Amino acid sequence: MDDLTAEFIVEATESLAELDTALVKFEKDPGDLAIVDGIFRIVHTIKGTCGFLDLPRLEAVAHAAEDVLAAVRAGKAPADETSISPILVAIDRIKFILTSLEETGEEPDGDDNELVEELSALAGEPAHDPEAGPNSDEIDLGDVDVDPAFASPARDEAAAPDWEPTANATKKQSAARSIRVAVDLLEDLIAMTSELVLARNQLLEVQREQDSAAFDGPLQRLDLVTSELQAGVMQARLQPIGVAWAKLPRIVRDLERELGKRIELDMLGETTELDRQVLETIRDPLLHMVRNSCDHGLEPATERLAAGKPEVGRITLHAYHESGHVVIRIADDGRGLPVDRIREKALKLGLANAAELAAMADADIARFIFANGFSTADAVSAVSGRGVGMDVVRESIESAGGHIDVDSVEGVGATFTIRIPMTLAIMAALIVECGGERFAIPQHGIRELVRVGGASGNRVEAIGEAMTLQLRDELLPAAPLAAMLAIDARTAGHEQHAVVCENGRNRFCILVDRVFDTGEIVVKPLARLLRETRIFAGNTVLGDGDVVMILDAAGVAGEIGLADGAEQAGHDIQMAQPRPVRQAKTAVLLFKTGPGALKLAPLSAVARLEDIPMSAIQQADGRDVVAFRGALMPILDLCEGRETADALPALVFGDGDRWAALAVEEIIDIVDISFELELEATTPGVLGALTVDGRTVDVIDVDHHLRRIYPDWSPAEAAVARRNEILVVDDSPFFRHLLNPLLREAGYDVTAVESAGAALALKDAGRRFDVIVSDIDMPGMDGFAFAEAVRTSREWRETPLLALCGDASDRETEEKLAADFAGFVGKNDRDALLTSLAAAVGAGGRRA
Amino acid sequence: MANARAAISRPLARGFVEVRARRAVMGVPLAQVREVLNPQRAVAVPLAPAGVVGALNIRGRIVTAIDLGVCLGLPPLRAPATAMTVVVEESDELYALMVEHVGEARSPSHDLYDLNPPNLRQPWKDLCSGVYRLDGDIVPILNVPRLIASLFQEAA
Repeated sequence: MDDLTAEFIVEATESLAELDTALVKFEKDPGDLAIVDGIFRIVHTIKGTCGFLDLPRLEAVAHAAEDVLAAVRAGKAPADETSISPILVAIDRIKFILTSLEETGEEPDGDDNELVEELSALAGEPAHDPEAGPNSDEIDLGDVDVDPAFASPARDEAAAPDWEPTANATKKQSAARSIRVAVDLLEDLIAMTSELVLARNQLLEVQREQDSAAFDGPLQRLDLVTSELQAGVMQARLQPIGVAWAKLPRIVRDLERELGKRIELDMLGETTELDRQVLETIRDPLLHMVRNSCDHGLEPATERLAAGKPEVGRITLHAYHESGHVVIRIADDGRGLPVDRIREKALKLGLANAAELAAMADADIARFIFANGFSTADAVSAVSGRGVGMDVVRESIESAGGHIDVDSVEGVGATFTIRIPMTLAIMAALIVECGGERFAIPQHGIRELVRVGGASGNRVEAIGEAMTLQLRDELLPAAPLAAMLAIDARTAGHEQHAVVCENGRNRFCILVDRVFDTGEIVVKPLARLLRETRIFAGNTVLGDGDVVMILDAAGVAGEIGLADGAEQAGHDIQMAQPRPVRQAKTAVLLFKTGPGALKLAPLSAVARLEDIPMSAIQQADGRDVVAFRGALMPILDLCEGRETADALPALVFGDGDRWAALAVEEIIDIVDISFELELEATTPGVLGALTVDGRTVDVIDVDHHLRRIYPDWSPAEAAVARRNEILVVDDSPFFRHLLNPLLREAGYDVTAVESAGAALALKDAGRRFDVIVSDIDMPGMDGFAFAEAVRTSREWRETPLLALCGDASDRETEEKLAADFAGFVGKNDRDALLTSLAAAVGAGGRRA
Repeated sequence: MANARAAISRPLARGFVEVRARRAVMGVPLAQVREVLNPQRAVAVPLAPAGVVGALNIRGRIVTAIDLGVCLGLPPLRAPATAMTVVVEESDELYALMVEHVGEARSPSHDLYDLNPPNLRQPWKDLCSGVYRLDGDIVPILNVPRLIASLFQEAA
């Protein structure tokens, strides 16, 4: 096989992987011609190249598939199953021919006429003669099209060097900027870099002890170059997890047909990067687990409907980084694990006896599916499935230093959580000593180092068993490393060091005897024998050749009783159990202003309650004022036709250094209610009405009245004590990271997701938001389609929707935006965003 | 890593290497021995099973060090720093057996191989796969997979 053919096979195989995903996407969203264009281009490229390389069989199939795609593009063939399925068959055929080509260097013998005819019938054209070469009436794609002379099979090998089959501009560019490297070569480079890092560390150690100036310069350079080399090599090794997921949509689609179920596959966090080696390790286990979910996890449609679930089963893959690890969740909303059957099976296999099983929690019983040999036997897989090969899955994941767990609720669904190191290679770590042994603590979780005990003034105090450190105004749980590892620390009273760590939302400190310096360490997975202890994440060889254990901050936190960080991660999405609509309680003030219904205002906005003596009230500037905290405070009487009294009960509000009071007739009570307006008001000054203990109460628009006093009174941000929840949909992680803190600071609760699909998943999970902010340009479902989906949904119809536009938009887009969205703002205009949000929240609040 | 592996000598077809842990003499099957090393500095691993002495750095590869004597129910090594190391492979992982003395490799005739005497007590009963009768000396043969399995049981 010549080089050209070899290169063609590699490229075509990659393109085909893209194709699978694109086709399935297209089938879901047939309106999206951009996807058809993409598919068409890939098939067109393959066809053009085969003509050139003299691969008639491949060319005939590709050509026929291309014609069908062209017809779909032109609207002549339906964009649905009837067209897509034969195309998928054609693609499978192309794959088959490619495989054989790769093995033998020749196209396999065989006949594709039937398939070609079927495709041609769809395309509405007579079948192409496979020997006829490329058609001259080919659809002209401009930059993609191949010169007929180029594509001619007669062209000889001598012309090969300037071979550029379907060179469009971008292709040419990417070809010039990247090269293919054999994986083995990359692995060798990485192994060598690791050794180089060790040697460098050793040299630095020697340098520190001997201090010979002659080596300073070269060593410094060596140090720098090594670091950069290492970073570069590491980067070359990282791949987005999406690579391992690329096949899944197609597989799920095929399983849908095969099993006669309807399945929606959501993939969140596809861009989460992890080491190539790790990726390879989990690729097959993931595939296996998704298959399991489709096959055994999700019920048939009839069963789902009977159980009151949506007909379409949902499988969600979610990947994210957490303290040097990648967490992958595979959740389905199917029937969950059959605990009773697993229990029976475990008993039969002798994994536990009846008494032990009776005492075990369901969660622990579910974990038996990971037990060795659990699945190889018949019963569970045949009857209820799940557990098929889960022991193998667990072994592969553990082989990469990872961990798998399952969380299942019968009838609701199962969630598998895989936690795996992002890379097996290198990280920065702090070296500490405890009881004469050295340990490494990964740098990324460390916040600060503090001396404790002795003369330092910081004390570690014990509360029962628990150790705590008071640091400034914070009480930190302390993990005494020596005690945890059952080694002898220095005697009490000596000065120690506290390494303050943060893991998820947990802050805690690890107490050690000494702290050395930080350095790059080459992480090596723990021997299997030592993996039971969750305190260690791995081990490494230091510059002096000694082995040290690497502490796992999450494990240490768990060991001292802090909840697992993974469970609390801010972006955690509970797929299996829809969250109930939030019923936050808000403290409100009930008061009376003359006859009519009681009035109510959120307590949080009220600075003070005052009884203002009538005698203290004076007239100034035509208003009632009273001296209050060294200034004059205007009073507005909300009570009409007030009878004379000695004092006015008043609600005092503050804005900066100004004060204003609203006088009422009588303050009744402070109660906690769920602040949901039941009736919208038409009178200015009243937000609406709701029921408190069976009585109807008017909700006063405090800001409205305060603006009657000071027209520029700033709206009480915290007027409603519960924070407004904002959903941000943006495919750019950069913007999500940018917006999140900005909005939080402005007093909103923020949930950020990277795609419209993920957002809609939240909808289905029962989440409700006050405002949705969505990007317009997004891959897959774009902002407009998303807006449409939101508007037509039952749950989110009422939620105000704001559009985020990349940059200054033209008139047409603006009009379109105005039609679909409540407002739109430029991505970089943060003030406009906050203003629009405040307005939208106000509007939404009234509507709620 | 492949290079390091290649550098480790290949096993003899059959036979064993004699080792002594405290007073006990045992044969380690050569099929599983990867190399024999002079004393190495083992770093203690907290919370490890009792039979585990610590971890060794063997040419950049981290290997779990095991006190064979402790596994046989004998007192721990008195001077781990001077112990000899027999590196064995089991289920794709390397383990370093720490013993006081490593003798010669022997491959006696299969006829001299016998089943365990029925009166063997635990843990010997589990850890020996059989015995060789050699000129009046009895050499029990270590069952490496079971030795490692017993440590896993302890770890769990």
